Amino acid sequence: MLETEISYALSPLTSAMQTAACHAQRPVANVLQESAIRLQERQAVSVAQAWEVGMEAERDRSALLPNDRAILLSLCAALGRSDRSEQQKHLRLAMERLAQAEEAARRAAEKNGRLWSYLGPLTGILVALILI
Amino acid sequence: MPVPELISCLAEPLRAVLAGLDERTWQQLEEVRLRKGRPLMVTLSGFSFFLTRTGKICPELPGDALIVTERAFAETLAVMTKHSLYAVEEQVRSGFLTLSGGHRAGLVGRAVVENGQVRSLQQIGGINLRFGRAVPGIAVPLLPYLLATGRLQNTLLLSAPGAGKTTLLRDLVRCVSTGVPGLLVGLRVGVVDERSEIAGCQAGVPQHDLGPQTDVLDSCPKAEGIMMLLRAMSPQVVACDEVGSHADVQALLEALHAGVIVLATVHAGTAAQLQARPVLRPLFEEKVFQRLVLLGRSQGVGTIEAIYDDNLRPLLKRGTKDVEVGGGSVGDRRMQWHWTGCGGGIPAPTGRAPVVAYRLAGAGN
Repeated sequence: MLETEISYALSPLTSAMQTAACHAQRPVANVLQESAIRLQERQAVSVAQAWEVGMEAERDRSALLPNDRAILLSLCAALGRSDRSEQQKHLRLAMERLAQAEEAARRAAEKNGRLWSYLGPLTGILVALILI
Repeated sequence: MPVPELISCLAEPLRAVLAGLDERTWQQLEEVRLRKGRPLMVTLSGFSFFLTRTGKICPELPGDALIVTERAFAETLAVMTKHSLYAVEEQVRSGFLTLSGGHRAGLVGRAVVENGQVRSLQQIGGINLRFGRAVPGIAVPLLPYLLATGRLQNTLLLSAPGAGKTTLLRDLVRCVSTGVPGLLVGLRVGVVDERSEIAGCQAGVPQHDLGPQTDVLDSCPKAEGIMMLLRAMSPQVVACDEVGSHADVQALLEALHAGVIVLATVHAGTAAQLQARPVLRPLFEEKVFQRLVLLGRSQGVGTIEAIYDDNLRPLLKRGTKDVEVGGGSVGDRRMQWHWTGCGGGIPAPTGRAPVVAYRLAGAGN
């Protein structure tokens, strides 16, 4: 969704985030919405900062691993800071890395059976990024 | 108050210092220049100054100069682009951004070139915030000199950069579009705003008042834009900024031969310099511009130094006795027009102060 909004609609990042939030599930929708508001109201000086605060607020509801957080934060550090084709590259790289993390989690979960607590939010983020 | 609007995009530490500047400094302020990791500079009435961290203005680099840190620079750029550099890619490629309120930010960085063309600008390292001033009413006293037998003449405004050409053109467009009671009936004006500087359009809405019957073709190359306007909007007047290329000149000639009145600006310090530019020669050979208005800074930004006719005969010259214009003598008043600061110094040929004339024009609608 973000990719469509950024690459094709050329929507400003905050409205792209809000559109993506409408199509995502909690807690991802909340993080996107919160980050967009923080940026609009200049409570955060960068996308990464807004995202980090938003993610912190939803920490209890998500089961993201540190690795996933790092992937998302490195994406946020690049969001909105380059031209369209560069943005597309960053988004696709993040999606690929998240898919790999999901695959690794799936394999791990098969071993220890804790799949559901983890897979739900991660899939939510993936759907938000992929929906075109 | 336009002051906070211009600096609202700046990072907090820089904004705080600039917000503390006094009213007089703000009136003289033309530019704020940010260079990553280097001192912030301001341009006041054409001269560059440093600022200290406490907001003191210094002509020499002070020990406690206000430095634009990398973080402050990144924040400023992010706010300016609404965290969406990709959405303003086209403007960035041209080296500028249009900000709300009709202000502009010039950008420099590393150009990425593809097939000999600049594809994008990356690693932006310098921002020049240019204060876009609308000074309603400044063109009213000039208008009588641009008329002959009641008809607006093709007019070229010329000056070196930063002398107020665009500001004057902007108000001229507004006056022509609105009409001035007893002087000129409002006309349909088409503006080709290649650098988004005349109208300062944001999302299709001009940030400056250009009058009720002005159509703006934003960010469009002049040559193509003039032809588009002629085909689509049937303008009576076409206005554009900074004519410079062969294609621009050809398009202007096309418009002129189609019976459209042209208002344009061009970079040239004197009429002689203008004639020396080979690209512009066809305009003089065909004597298409009946009025040339030379602007300078001798009495501040926007000083009208002279007005010439199509034979480059001075109709009016600052500091000299004037000659007959538009069929009527203006008397032997010494010309000292300039509109810097609060803009009260323009003697109107009609005897009206510019602000009053503007109000009358507004009441006529």
